[in-house]
Amino acid sequence: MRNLLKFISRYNYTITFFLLLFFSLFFVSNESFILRSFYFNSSNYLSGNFYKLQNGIISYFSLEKKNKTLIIENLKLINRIKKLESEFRSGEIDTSTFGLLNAQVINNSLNKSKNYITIDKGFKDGVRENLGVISSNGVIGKVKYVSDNFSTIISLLNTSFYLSTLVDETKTLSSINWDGKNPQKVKLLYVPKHVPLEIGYSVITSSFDSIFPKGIEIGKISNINKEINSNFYDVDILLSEDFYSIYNVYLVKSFPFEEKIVLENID
Amino acid sequence: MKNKILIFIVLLFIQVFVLNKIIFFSFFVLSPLIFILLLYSYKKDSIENLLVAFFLGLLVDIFNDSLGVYSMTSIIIVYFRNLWVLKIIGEEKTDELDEISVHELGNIQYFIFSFPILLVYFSILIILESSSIFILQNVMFILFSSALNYLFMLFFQYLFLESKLRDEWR
Repeated sequence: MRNLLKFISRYNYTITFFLLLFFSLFFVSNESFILRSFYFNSSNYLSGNFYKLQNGIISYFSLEKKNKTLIIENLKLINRIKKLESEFRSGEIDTSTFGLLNAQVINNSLNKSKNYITIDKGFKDGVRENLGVISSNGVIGKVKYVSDNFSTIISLLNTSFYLSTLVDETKTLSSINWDGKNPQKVKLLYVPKHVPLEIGYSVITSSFDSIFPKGIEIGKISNINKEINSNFYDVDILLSEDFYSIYNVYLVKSFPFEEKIVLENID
Repeated sequence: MKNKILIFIVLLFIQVFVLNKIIFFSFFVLSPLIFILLLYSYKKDSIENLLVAFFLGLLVDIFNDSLGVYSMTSIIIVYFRNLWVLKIIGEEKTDELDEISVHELGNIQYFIFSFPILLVYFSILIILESSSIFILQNVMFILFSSALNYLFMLFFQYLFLESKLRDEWR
């Protein structure tokens, strides 16, 4: 016992080092670490408020750009309303309801392999974990951590985020995942080689993951590589959303999905 | 002392809010965290050094949504810095140092001391943060970032830290 104490007091510096190293390694490797969802993310009280303050200053400089994107979005929506009105008269439309919640991006990153986005809406505004996040151009990600006033979104540009998708033209079920290289491109996975794919086909959400409604745009196929030793294609998708400039996002609150999840969980 | 703490806080905020968002010419980043870690005063086998490094890193991590990456890098850097500084300067002289700055060491010795640590720092960051490690772009990233951060570190120290030698001349 005395020798042990002697050992500890002699090497306490190195022991502390390895203890702290172990803690950090644990932090890095364990993504579902419980403390992480409460304190150690950018949606906590301290950093959330700092980012809000920062965003309050910065957002004035980009008002012109925001206005332009809003005008474009308005145009798109008007066109869509007209299209939907004509479909509605002919009775083709599905009337299931999706609630949208508007939020502002206050922090975003692109240069890491695991990117997260912070928004200024939290539990008080009705944000819950695992809600889908979209913008006017396409899918952004899904909500990972929620605090009272802020939430952290796991971005589409995060190597551990997979999303269930459809190739619109062929209705092929597939998944997408980011390979951590180019922030404008993601990989389309699990499309078997017998399916005819062509450059320019669009990729949309499938709604099988119970997060996004069906048919939200993700991007277009930009490169197809058949010459790999696998049963599946190696496909690149050019994202329709420009992740360099996201300001406004919408959270998808989908009421039919709750029923679906309950149904699927029955043995 | 108050002055120093203020500089530390300012540097940390610059890192978190500005420089972590910018990749210059898609190659290099500036990281004031390493300035702090390198400058921080040396004490033999001091646990305080390690704890400060760990919590500084953790603070950057929380703002950065990269839990563990910066805290791990900074404790490794501080641990090996404390061994390296003994190798470079010798034990007797290091005990007298207040802070390990370019004023205290001189240009050549400071370069020998700090540049390898910068290389190690950016290598660990790349290994932990990027998914593909052994590509040319990352090697360039490490070299460019280290060189640039070294230059900025010199600027910073000449501008903001008072030299004891200069005081003696007055």
